[in-house]
Amino acid sequence: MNFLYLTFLFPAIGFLLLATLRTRLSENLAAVIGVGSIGLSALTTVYVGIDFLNNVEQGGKYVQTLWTWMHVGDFNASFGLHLDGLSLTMLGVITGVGFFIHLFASWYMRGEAGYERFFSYMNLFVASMVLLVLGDNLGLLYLGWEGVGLCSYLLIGFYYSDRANGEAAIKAFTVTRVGDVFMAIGIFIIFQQLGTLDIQQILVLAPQKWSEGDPMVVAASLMLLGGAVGKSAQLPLQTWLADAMAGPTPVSALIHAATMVTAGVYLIARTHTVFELAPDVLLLVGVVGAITLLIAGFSALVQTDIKRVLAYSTMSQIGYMFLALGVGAWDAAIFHLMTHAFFKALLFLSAGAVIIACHHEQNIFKMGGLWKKIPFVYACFLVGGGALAAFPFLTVGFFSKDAILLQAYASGHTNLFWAGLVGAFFTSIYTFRLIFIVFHGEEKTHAHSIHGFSYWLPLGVLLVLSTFVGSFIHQPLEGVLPAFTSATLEESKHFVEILAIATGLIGLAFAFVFFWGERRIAKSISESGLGRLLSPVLRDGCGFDWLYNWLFVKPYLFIAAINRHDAIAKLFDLIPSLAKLGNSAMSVTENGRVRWYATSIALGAVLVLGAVLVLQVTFTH
Amino acid sequence: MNLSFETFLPLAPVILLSLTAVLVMLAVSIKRNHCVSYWITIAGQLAALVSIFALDGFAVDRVATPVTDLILIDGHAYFYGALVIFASLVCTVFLRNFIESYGNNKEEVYMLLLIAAVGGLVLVSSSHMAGFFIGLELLSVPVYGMVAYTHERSRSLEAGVKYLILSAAASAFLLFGMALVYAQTGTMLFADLADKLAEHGGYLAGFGIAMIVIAMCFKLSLAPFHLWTPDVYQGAPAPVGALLATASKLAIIAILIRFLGHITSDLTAVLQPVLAVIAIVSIAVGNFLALTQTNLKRMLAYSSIAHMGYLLIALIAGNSVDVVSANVYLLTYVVTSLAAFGAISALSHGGNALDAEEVNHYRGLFYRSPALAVALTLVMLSLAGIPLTAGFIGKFYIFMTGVTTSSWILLAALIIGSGLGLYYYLRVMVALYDRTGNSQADNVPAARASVAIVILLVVLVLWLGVYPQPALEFINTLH
Repeated sequence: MNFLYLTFLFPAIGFLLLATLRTRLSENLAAVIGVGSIGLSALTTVYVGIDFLNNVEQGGKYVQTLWTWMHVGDFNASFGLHLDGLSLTMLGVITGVGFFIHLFASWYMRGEAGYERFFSYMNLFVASMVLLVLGDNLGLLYLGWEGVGLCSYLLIGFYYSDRANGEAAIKAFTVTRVGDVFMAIGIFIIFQQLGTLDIQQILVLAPQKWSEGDPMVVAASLMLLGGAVGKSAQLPLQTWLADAMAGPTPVSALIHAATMVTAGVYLIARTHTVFELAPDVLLLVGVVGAITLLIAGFSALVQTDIKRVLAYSTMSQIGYMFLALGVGAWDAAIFHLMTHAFFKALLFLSAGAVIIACHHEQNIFKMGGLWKKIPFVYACFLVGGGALAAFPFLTVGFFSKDAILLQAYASGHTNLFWAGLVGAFFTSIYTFRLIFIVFHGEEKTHAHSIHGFSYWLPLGVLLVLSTFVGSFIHQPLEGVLPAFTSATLEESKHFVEILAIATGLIGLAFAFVFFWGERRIAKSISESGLGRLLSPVLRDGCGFDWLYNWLFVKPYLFIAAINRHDAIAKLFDLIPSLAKLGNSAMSVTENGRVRWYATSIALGAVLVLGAVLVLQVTFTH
Repeated sequence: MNLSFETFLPLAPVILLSLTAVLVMLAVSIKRNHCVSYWITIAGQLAALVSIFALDGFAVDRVATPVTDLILIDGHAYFYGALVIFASLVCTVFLRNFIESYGNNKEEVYMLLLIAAVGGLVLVSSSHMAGFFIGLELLSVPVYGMVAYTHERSRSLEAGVKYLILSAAASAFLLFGMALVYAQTGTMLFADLADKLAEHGGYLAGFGIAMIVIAMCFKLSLAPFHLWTPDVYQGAPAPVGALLATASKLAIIAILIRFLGHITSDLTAVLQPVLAVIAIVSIAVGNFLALTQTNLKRMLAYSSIAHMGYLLIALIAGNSVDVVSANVYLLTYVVTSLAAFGAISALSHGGNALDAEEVNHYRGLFYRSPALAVALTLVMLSLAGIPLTAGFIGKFYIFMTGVTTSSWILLAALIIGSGLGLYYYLRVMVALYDRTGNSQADNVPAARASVAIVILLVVLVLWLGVYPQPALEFINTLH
């Protein structure tokens, strides 16, 4: 476990190498550094993980304080890593899935301009993300949080020569920034109230300082939730994620599906004690999740871009995690986080393969009948899509989603449960719609087949993990997160399971009826009056962009237009003028003449002695 | 008093440096050889530095050892003594390359440097008015010679004479002040000062103390006694400028801290507001004057005025001198300043009519000498007090002193001054990477040894900025 810091150090070194050597590296060397650093980090994680599981008792932790950056008064800014079951799970997902995505990217990005730039950002991302999950205090967590935000911005705008990509990057950065501000305020409240940023101390001190429902704890948890919804693309800050698909596909897989967007879930789980002290806010987490998963599910139904379908499905799956957090099903949330990382990475990478095979075509209606050309990708899509739609027993997604639905039901929040069930129904429809349109029906493009070790290995591994095999991975969360308890858990088990299976299969049947073959029914619906009214709204994510445009962007631009000449800046222009005035006034004194210098000393001395005399007289009387 | 070998043992650094000065003089009189003089100087200073450690100079349980009435050796004296020797050692390396191309006699400059260093050591450990004065003069007089060493340059000669005249005036203040204090209290020992002042104190003694402080303010180039600074810094050869900005200032701060610790609290209360005004005016004057400066040496001179103003905050905020803050600040300031002047020295040659002192000399330096340019960038960041550099840690401590003592006006001056400072430090940085401008220094190769030392210093700057804990703990154990 002493090597824990290496998980962070390897990607950081990789980033530094790639960033400093830049174009001096050949593509192969850049790939070796970029992928190798993550590989080493993943190996370290395996080693540390085995060591941890063998030597630390259940629910235990390992803390590695690397150095104290500064220690002044009560404020102690340390650079410390904290490893427990939760951070180990996250670390495994980040470095493990991260490694396979990097490997895939080394194939996917080949020949693109800025190959080494891509990997330098990706390595920096992994380093920041590792810091985010391992940091033992909120300061360090926030550093990682901002680091991944920066990398997300850089990678969404990776193809910067296209203006739209730059705008998508700015949008993602701005929207998540809104959340980050809330989160910063939340951290300030916690520090002001508890006097520490150390997460473990916060978990101990919070129940001592605050009673349940204390206004301060409500405020703190609300602010943290603000940060979490921003990063995890949940209502009302979800609008950036669909546009974030402008980045290269491996980026979407790693950052905007498997890891970064789950940071919000991690944050809430990490500070669970704070949220448990504010039950209303915790319920709000669940409600936010439920609404998001429904809205995103509807939107995914009508998307035409393969990556946007997956983007909306990511939103909705994170919605499930939020729902789970909201009902206190902590384990289930993290379990779904992990399985989602597997199958969503698989889906995105397969989508990448499809896009490459179709010569960078992303519109699903211009694909079709691909299963013969790229059968392996088809298999990947089937398994990944099956897991996404929670296909019973064979896929990993079934186990995690079933756990969430069951615990939601058993917790008594039946509204949330029904929302989750409806969401599952739509998930099944849009997933199989995607598969039927892309892989079946008539062939519309001339797809070419693909080969390569770094293409099939990541897909193969993720494919295996997305089947029921993935559910055998045990997460060492006992004692880290509170266990879910409910009297009705056992008795409702079969009821929920049957309901979930039925919903999924009915969804599949609906998808078959609507989207198999000629898609006559689907076409007639979309051409009907209602369809023409609704589908553009749904396609743009239920009109949130339109709403925010009117609510925030337009008023902002209006104010900006009024203040074209920037009245406030005039005030600040005074500062340079004052400085210049001061400068010219002082410059007169520096005339180089010794007699004047000597005079100034004498005058200064007279002033000082005069002041001393006056002060002495005043003090003695 | 029984004078034995043991009595003088704590003085080993002073004695070693004095011996080295004599050795250099002898070597010069036998046969002039630049290389020999240089290495004797280096060896002598290294020996002095080692002797401080060999004497357990920094042992936690060290008790203050008096050597006669004039000198008191304690942790304070050794800390500043070590810094003075370190600074003069670094300046020696900078001097070598500079003086190599100088057409006239080269070797004497090392002798002057060593005598100045001895003066600095005496000053930091003196506990008596006489030791105080002797140390100060021993430190100052060789520096006049060093400033004017390249006397073929008219600016250098002018600067030397200016410094001599004005410094003499300041010394007159110092002596008169000491005389007044003695006349009132009948003691010249620091240790008795507080009691005697409380007993016999009057306005005259207060005047005396104030005059001593005025002389110190002149040496520290605090406003309104600062006018000489830019002229002298500009005229002095760059390595001598390094000595003036570091070793000389260090020693004077050390004695000022010690002296202020021995006066009555009544007098402290009188001096505080006066010094506060001096600090604020210095910060304002230094930063304002530096804004439009295109001569790097003058800019550093102005910035040193401002920096001394910041430092003064640590000395006057609160009821007593915040020695830890002052020490931390000085440590970071000395390392950074040495690196700044070192970069100028590395590009300057005694044989040329001018040093590489115009900002234009540095335009596009990154493309000719990337290591030096990056080093200079970090130095500027440190001078501006940007986090992760030493300068930030120093400024942070001053800031903490201001906050804990609720000296809000001084803090405001510190913050506004730092903001102004960014402007001119950043301007130098921009020039370093400016590809377009034509440089006047294309064919001046940077001196390797100086560049190496500059890089080492910058590593120290980063280390102090990123991982300051060991240095902070060390400073905390001194008092």
